[in-house]
Amino acid sequence: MKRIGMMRLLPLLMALVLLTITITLWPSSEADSVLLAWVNVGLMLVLALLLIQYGMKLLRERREPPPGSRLRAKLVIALVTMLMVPSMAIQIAANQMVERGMDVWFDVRVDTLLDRALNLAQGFYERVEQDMKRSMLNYISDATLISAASGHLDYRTVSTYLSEIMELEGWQKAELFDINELLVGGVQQGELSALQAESLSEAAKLSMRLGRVSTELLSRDGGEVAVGYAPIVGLTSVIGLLRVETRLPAGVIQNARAVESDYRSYRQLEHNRQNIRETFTHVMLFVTLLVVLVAGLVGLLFARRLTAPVGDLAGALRRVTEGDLNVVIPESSRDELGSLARSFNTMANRLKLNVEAIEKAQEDLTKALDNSRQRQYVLESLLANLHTGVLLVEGNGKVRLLNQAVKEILQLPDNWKPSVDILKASVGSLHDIGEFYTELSGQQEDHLQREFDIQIAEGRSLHVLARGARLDETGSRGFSGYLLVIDDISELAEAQRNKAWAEVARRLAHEIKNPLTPIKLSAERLQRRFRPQVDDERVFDVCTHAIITQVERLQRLIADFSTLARMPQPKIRETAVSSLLQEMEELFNSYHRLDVQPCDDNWSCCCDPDQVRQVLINLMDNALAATEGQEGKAVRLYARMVEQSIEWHVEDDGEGIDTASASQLFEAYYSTKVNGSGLGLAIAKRIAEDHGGVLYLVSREKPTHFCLRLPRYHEQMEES
Amino acid sequence: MILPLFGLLFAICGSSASAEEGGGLDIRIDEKLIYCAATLKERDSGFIHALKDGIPVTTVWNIQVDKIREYWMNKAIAEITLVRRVVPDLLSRSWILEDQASGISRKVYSMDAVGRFLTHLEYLPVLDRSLLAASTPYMMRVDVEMHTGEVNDGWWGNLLRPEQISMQKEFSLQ
Repeated sequence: MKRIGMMRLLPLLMALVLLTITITLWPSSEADSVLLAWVNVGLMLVLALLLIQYGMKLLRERREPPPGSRLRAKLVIALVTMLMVPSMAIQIAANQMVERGMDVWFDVRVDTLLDRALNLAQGFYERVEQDMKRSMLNYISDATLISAASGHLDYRTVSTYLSEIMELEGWQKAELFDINELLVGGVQQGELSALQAESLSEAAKLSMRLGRVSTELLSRDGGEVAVGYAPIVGLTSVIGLLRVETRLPAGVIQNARAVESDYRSYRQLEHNRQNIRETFTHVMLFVTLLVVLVAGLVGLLFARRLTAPVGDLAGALRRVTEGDLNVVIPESSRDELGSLARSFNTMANRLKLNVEAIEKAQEDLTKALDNSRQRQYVLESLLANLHTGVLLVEGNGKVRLLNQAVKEILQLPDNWKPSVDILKASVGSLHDIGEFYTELSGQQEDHLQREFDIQIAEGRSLHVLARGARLDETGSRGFSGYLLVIDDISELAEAQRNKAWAEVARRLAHEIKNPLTPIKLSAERLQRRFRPQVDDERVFDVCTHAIITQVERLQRLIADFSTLARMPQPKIRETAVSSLLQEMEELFNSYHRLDVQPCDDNWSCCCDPDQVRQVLINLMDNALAATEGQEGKAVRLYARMVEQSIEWHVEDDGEGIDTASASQLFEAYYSTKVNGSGLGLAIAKRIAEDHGGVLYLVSREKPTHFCLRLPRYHEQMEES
Repeated sequence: MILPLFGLLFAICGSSASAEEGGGLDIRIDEKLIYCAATLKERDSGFIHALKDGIPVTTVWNIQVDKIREYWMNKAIAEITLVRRVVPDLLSRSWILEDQASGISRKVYSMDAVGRFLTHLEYLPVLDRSLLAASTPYMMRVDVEMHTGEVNDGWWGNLLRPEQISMQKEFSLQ
């Protein structure tokens, strides 16, 4: 990680170094090579900026670098470094060589040599001038020249004289001017270059004005001449000027000028020594920078070209890793990278085909699973909503499936779960279930149907209808086992029983009712007609009275039978609860032990008030009969509104009901009274059920407590 | 990010190339002409050493007269360039003074004369008075370049110009 981090920081470090060098080499405005220096500074800044940009790019791509960028960065940095190191070495070596070379070129011996050469040349000139001055001093007060300058001699005489002294002194030209700068006479060797004499130069005029001999060097006719000026001094003042010329030897002059030229060149170079060094340094630096820049660009292009296939491959692999198999990389080159690309494309294609096959299989499986789940869901929903209990038992006796209904009907304990052994779980009251399974699995026939009673909690018993079927294995995916269907037919059985009893009652009433009235009338007639004729009137009265009483009892019994057999449909209407309570209080007001508690006048109930009144009267009769002889409020009647129902409660402080009687209390023809028909509570219960309500025993004793619960609204009653 | 760095670079370059005041300028106006007298301060005697070593020295005087405008760039009225060159003659220990504008040259033997020739401009007539309007402010600007060695006449010579000494002065016709 550290190496990677340093690699990423390397361009920035290189840029920092480059910027430091740039600041160090910042050009001064006085240098001659300032333009080149600025070019170098510009190049270095461009390089630094490119490096900074590249470094920032590497840092930005630190978390998610593009494929191949790391390899490219390494290659570029390696190439540039490999170039920079020798370039800088060459630069330093070249600078050292120039430094040494300059020391050699501008050696003090060369300096001295040139100085001496120049002194020699200058000495020659000085010697010529001194000789000229010395010889001219002899003619300042020359009498001939004085008289000539004064105008006393003619031109020919003056020229002849000048020719003599010119020849004597070795001059090439001699001219004499008077005080007015007019030519008095003149001679020269060779041909005349001009008809008119040259006017006097400033130096000549100065010499005449100052009365001083002077010389000057002039270039003329491709050569150089030494010109001397000597004032001609009269008695009191300067009266003329002698101007002479002598040509300097061409060879010597040529050498002297060559020395001067070399000296000048040397000095100029020496003056520019610093500039030369800087120029050389900057040229070398320019070349180095150019090479580095070009090498960097070439390296970048080369690295990009080299790493592009690798980057493509890495990118394609990343896409494949992310699940995109529709990836194809170009196979442009014929080298190992191209072969790699071809192999990758083949691999990706195969992978894609495999994945497509897997996806198709998965899709088929998913569809099958969905169908299976759907079927299972339908089956489970069906079983869950079925009111018939269903048990699916495997061939080995393990319960495979059981629905909610079977749990509720049989009130199965918690250990009844799938995979429980049905025989081991069928204990206690569920013993009959185990026997039914044993019989089903043991018989030859495929179907079995049995009815049996099962004792459940609180002493209740259920009458169930059990049907069983053998399931044979069909095909490879079949199931072998047994299907048990359990139905609670208690109510059905009771209804059948009630229907049967009603039919019995109807027929009995029909058969018995008809002869009872003539029997009673006959007995009354006997009593009226034959009483006086009998010997023992007391016995006669007892007998006839017994006949009449029993007949009346039989008539009441038959009336009850008729009522049970032909129970009318309730005529539902909204009835005030308080009015029923008030009626009861008024009906039984002679019984002081009765306490009727009033209720809210707003409470109402949808019911047939006649039938409800009948139920309440029945309950009150039973309660009053049970508390006969007791003092205080031994019987209590009150009403309650519970949620959407109205409850009438009848409590008494009688002896209570034993357990055996309690279970048969609401069955027809069961009575604990001597004269009871055993139909009162059965009828009351039937009325309650016809209203969609319930009549039940809340407690058997102390107090004996019955509750009649009816729905408040007609819709609830219909739903019930 | 690159552009601000280049901006900084050019700002630095611009500051290093700024001109400096290095002389005195005097303007004389007579009935017909406007004259300019300028003197370079002899703060740098490098050219004297160059001359003594035989290296030619040239001063290029560029005299420009502008009409001053308050809200716009000044308007150029006249511009004169004067080139004065001194070529040493080491053998005769003299210096040839060349005025390249007029073509006149002369030889002197005194360094003082050479210095004066190179650093002094003595009431050079610059322009006709009739070209200027009265009560209008004008600016005379003199830029002087001193070349040691041969003057580079190549196209790149302008790129390698030596440091300029600038003088300027406002004037107006009464």
